[in-house]
Amino acid sequence: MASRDEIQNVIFQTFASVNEDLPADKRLTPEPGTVIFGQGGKLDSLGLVTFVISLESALSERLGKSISLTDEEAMANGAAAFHSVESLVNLIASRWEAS
Amino acid sequence: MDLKALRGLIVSDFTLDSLAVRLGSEAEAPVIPTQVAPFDQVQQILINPADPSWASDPNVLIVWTRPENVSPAFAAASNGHKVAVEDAFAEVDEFAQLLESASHRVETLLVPTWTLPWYERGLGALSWKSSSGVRRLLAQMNLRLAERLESVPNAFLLDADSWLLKHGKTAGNPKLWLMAKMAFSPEVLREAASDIKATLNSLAGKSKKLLILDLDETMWGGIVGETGWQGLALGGHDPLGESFVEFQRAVQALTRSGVVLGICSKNDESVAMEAIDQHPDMVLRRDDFAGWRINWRDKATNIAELVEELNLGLDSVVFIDDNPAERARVQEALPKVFVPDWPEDKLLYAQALKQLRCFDRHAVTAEDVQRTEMYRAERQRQSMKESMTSIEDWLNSLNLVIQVEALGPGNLKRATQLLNKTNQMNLRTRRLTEDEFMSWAGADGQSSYCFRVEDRFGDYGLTGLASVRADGFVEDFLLSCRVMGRGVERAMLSILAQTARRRGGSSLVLEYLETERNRPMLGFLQNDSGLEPGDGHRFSRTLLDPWPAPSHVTFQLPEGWVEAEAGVRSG
Repeated sequence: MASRDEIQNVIFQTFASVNEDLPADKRLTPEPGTVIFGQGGKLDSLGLVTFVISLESALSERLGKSISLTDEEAMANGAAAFHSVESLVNLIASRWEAS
Repeated sequence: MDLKALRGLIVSDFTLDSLAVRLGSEAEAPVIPTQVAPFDQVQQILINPADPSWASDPNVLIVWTRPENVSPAFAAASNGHKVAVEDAFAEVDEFAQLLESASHRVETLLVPTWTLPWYERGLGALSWKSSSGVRRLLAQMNLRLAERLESVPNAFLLDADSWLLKHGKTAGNPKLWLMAKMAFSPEVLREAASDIKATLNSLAGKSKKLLILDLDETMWGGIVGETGWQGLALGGHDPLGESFVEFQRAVQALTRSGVVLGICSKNDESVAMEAIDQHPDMVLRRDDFAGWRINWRDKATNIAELVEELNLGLDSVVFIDDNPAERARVQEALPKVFVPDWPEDKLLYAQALKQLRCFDRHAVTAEDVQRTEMYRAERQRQSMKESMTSIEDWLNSLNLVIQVEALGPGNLKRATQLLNKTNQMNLRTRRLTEDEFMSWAGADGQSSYCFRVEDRFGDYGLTGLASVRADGFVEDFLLSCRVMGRGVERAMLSILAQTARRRGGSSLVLEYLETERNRPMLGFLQNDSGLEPGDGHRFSRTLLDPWPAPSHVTFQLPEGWVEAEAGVRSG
């Protein structure tokens, strides 16, 4: 299983990719405390979908692991699971461990 | 089209918000502030000029649709039904009519072609059969739409298939559609944005017009100065040699749409040109280039000069060089020149060139096609002039007129200035005041003459001066460098010879006094004067023999001048 740091790095790399299509005030900073979605978050629901699908591809390409983050359970708890970098790392790590 | 006043409107049946962001981005010019019309309202918006979507008064309209939404017949075919192609065509025609109508409300209408995702395989081998081939039907629909919009001058189809091909499997993801109604990935939308911007640049006349190429390791493999053209990697049966041929073919194709070629290379020109002329596998030859700078000078300086020579602007130039340091230098010194990053892998050169959007054209005019030919003809005229083998032909073409005046109050000031400042073409470099000069010329048996020169390029004024004693000794002989080498020197000698002969002299004698700067004078005396060398730096010629003036010169002589020599003709 990949380390939390490795997972976090993939998240930051995906930030860089999706930032290219975001207005300046909506761009995501590659920091552990960045709020992604929900209260104080940078992304709207459309932006979140794009980001999460890109993240799935990046995890598969860079860490060699296919993890679905867009299933009903994850998306239903979107505000919590995708709220911050930390919560997203937790989600990915738990999914990885469970698979 | 004013690139600073663009207002875009996207009308689509899928989510394209990030395309609007990309179009409005300053990362790539031009910036197109863009509104996205409400989702899936294509027909309603196109048909109704009063729809609120038009409130922003857009001048660029982008209509991007899914084929199944425009054509129910295509949707049925996608679901396995047999459909008549005519039904699909009727629906395409109806859509084209809407587009044509909307085109009147904007300056530019851009319509990406319809595509299918990679995983839509249809029935495999039947994909291109007329009975149920979905890909065939889609190709026919795209062609039909292109034909219908052909006569709409401000409407252009954009090839969306190339955007999908570039990004392969990641071009589309069913999840994007199902969760966000995005038909394409962000990568595809970036390609779309770049193509849209390139099209608008082209419409505004901003397409690049001049491609300047390095030679070694760019046009061919190897260093021609080290191996000779015989040792270059070009053509033959190896991947590297073939890749350079392929690259040159891609460059040559650009010339057919009006792109002009130039060379900027650090090389000996003769060695490089020999390769271009002689190498059997060169695709591009000397005549394909409008100009070149092949020398050891700074490339940025060379490029600036070449661009000026071709009467183009720096912002119309692309420079390709394999060397990152040269690219950086040119980019820094000439920021208006577009210097694309260039692959280290030489096998990818042709691909890198073909990917550039800066040469995009919205039309290829007759003038574009002839542009290279025009530069070539101009260069050939110049070359013919330079290679004219007969110096006499060139001299005869000058229409040289020399007006001869005796030194007097009217020309003394200018003559004295010339006497005291001429260095290179000066026999003895005598320096005198106006009074001294006038006094010398007024003495018995001594004469000073001024020469005014004019040819078909202009009037050069008083540019020559000569003084001769009664015995034929030439005291002053000087000529401005502005008119050197046109036969004026020999014409001046013939006038002095006449004068000396009239006064009973037997020979004309020129004694060269060397200075640090008057070597050109010695060169004339030794090579072109017709005088016989004597002791030291004395040159002379007898006055007993005929001494005709140069035939290409027409003289205007002072009143009362006795034409003692048949060869001197008055104008």
